[in-house]
Amino acid sequence: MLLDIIQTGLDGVMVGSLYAMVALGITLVFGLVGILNFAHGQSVMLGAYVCFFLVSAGHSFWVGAIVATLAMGVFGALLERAVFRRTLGDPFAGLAVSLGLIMIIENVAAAALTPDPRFMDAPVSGNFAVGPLLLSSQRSLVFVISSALILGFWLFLQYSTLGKAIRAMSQSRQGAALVGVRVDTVSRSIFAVGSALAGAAGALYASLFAVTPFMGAAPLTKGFILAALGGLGSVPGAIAAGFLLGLAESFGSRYLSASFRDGYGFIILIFALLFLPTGLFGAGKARV
Amino acid sequence: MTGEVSSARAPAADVPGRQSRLAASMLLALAGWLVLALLLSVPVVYHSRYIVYLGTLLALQAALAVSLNIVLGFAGQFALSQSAFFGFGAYASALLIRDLDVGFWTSLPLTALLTSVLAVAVGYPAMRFTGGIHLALITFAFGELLRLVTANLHELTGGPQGMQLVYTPGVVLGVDFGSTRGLYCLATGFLLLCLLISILVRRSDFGRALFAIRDDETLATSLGIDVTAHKVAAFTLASTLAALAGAIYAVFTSFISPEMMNASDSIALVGMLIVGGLGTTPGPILGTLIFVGLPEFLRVAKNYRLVLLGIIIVVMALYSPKGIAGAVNRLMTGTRRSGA
Amino acid sequence: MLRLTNISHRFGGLEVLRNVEFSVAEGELLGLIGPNGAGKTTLFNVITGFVRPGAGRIFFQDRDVTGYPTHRLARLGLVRTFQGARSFHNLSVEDCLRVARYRRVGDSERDRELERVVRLLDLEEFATEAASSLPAGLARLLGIAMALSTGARLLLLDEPAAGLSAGETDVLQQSIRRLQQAGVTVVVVDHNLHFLMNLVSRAIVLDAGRLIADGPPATVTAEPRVIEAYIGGRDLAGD
Repeated sequence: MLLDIIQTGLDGVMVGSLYAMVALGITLVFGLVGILNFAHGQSVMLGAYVCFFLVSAGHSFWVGAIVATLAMGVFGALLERAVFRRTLGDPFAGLAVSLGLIMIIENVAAAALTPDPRFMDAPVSGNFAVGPLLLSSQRSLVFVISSALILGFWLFLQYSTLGKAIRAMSQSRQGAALVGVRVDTVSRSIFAVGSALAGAAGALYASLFAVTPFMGAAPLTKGFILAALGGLGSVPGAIAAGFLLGLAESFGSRYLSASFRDGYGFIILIFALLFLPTGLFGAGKARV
Repeated sequence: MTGEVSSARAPAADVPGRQSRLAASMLLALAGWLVLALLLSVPVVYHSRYIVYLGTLLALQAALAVSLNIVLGFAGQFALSQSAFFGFGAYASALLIRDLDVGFWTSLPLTALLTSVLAVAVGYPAMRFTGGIHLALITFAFGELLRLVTANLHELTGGPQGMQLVYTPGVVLGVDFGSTRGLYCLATGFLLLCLLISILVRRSDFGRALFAIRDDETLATSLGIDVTAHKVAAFTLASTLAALAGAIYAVFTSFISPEMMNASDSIALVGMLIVGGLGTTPGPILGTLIFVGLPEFLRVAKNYRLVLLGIIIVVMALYSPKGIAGAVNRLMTGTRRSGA
Repeated sequence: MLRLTNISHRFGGLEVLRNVEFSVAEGELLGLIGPNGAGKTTLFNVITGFVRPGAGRIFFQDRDVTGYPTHRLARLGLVRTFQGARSFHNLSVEDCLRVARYRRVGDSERDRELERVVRLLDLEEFATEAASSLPAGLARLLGIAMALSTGARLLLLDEPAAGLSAGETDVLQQSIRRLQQAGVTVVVVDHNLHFLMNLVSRAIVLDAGRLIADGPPATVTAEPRVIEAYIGGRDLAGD
């Protein structure tokens, strides 16, 4: 029984780290730029395809993952430049634009890449045992990579110049501008960094699940739940909520009902929003 | 009242501007009614079953958009649960008919009643404690939850495979509402009802209060308006109309499934309103025609239709935030983007 | 009409209101002054239900209304205006006033008198204009007209004269006097002491969350504590 609980908990934590990565981009973009980017899931999907094609072409998973991350970073910056910059401060326009982008990107991808699911070989396979516990090698690797990226991102926010500028801007846009932070550069960087994280998450998704043009919807939905649960704009909140959701899904489907797996997140979210309207880490504005 | 504007204090907007604005809105209204008349005359002119089928579908879809406009366009409340209530209405009506043995027509008021109770139960806490983007998320989550619950109640709903329905509305006053045309009349009649309600709300004190809330909640409160109650009322009205559209859709297709409640359909509805013109009367209908009608008529591969639509949405959102209705208005009056 | 007992309030560690106590008699025209950050706006927010006070009670027409929601207070006749030109941007001037009348209770002779004062504000010729197209001064008058149209018995005006032209200020002063004749009790906050002192019969002074003076305008502005409070903050002439 106890073993079972530990095993379920570990499964939850592994999935949770992946969720948290997607949520980081959503919460950052919302907290700092005020746009709820529904097209964030498309970065996950495109990242997964980039990784898939590179691996299919004979490159290693690592090359695929790194290129996917970088490519999505550039993609995010381009989107900001071409589209989102014009919708700043108008949530309705931002929403409409991201809805339009979803339709464009998804369907161009479906037309160009066919809707057929594709599968990629994971870099590692099989299971390994830690004492009495049996862990999937690939899931453990996913957990290690995403935790490392989350940690790296956190260090970036704390210590890099750009990270400090982002934190300054999350406190006060005007204040940041006054002390010489280039607000527009920082906005673009946020889109780039968020999209890059989503691209990395896409590469990791590709190593676990099927790659399809419509795969972005699930991480997007989860990302929204997490961003709201953690308090929109709160980085620690999104990370904590990611692990919480992973655990809830893992325990819920193990002990309650597996077919209701995707429902647990919504239940948590509804209760959280009703009783803690500003999220676990009480945000409302960005907190990083 | 406009005759003697003293020049000393006349604001920027001048009288000719006002007149052309009036002309523009009349033209828009005319265009809207023409489109509607076209829609209504479809089964008279065409005898193709496909066209009548499409007309019915469009009418129900437009009814969803018109009712969503009351809460999203008028009151500015980001409700993303419209298709969830659409599906709820379909299931509520179907289950009432199957398990409680009521007739189709009796099931409608009962469905409306059940839906309004549910909408108040969801809307009150959500709108009292949260707003803006949080309301969008909570209604989104509620909708997905409703879909998952429906898919998981196998005994009651048939699960993800959905339900085959075997009832028809039957003959009332000599009209066979079970026939293709009868259903078409039912759907367009319902669309007209939604439009009528929308117009009446817009012209009422209640409707003006909703617009006031959209513009400035704090100021509205300070003038004695119970903001939460008004938001919940608008949400409940929109949700109840959506549920009735669902009940009609159920008898129209004879098949319902949890996919009716898909959140992406709710999101697409928001897109339709934005493209058509949020808060305007013809906006939801124009948006529906572009979103649902245009792709049906454009005989290109489905993927490219949606790409085209996506491009239209992005361009509209960037260059015409007030939708098509706003764009026509602007073309007519020559005012700049910030002026309207 | 309005009575505050021992009102205290803090934001985090900062005490913004400390044991504030005063009352306003029916039909009175009261000025509320104080340097920036004295707590005037918070006090307005507390009285009108936007902020629930940390301690103390508020009585309106002898009824304990502490903790009442804003809209309920407004329907009882306790109404405020806001700083700046705040209106419903997408509504016409006429519709703004209709929205304000929407929840008015009853329709007495007093309401008709209020309508006359609203007409005095001279907004009629702009009735069909979008509220957002009004120049700043008129937009401010519209805010007051909306507050009056609710059928206010006690009107709290938050810096009504800021940014008005001399002509508009005159119209405003006349209107406020007319209001008083119509039986509306008025409390005015303003930085423009000149405007205020010519208008009110009694002034109270708030400094650092405390009530430091209460009396006729001339006496109050001569008090050393008041002068001291203003020195270093703002000079007595206001803006």
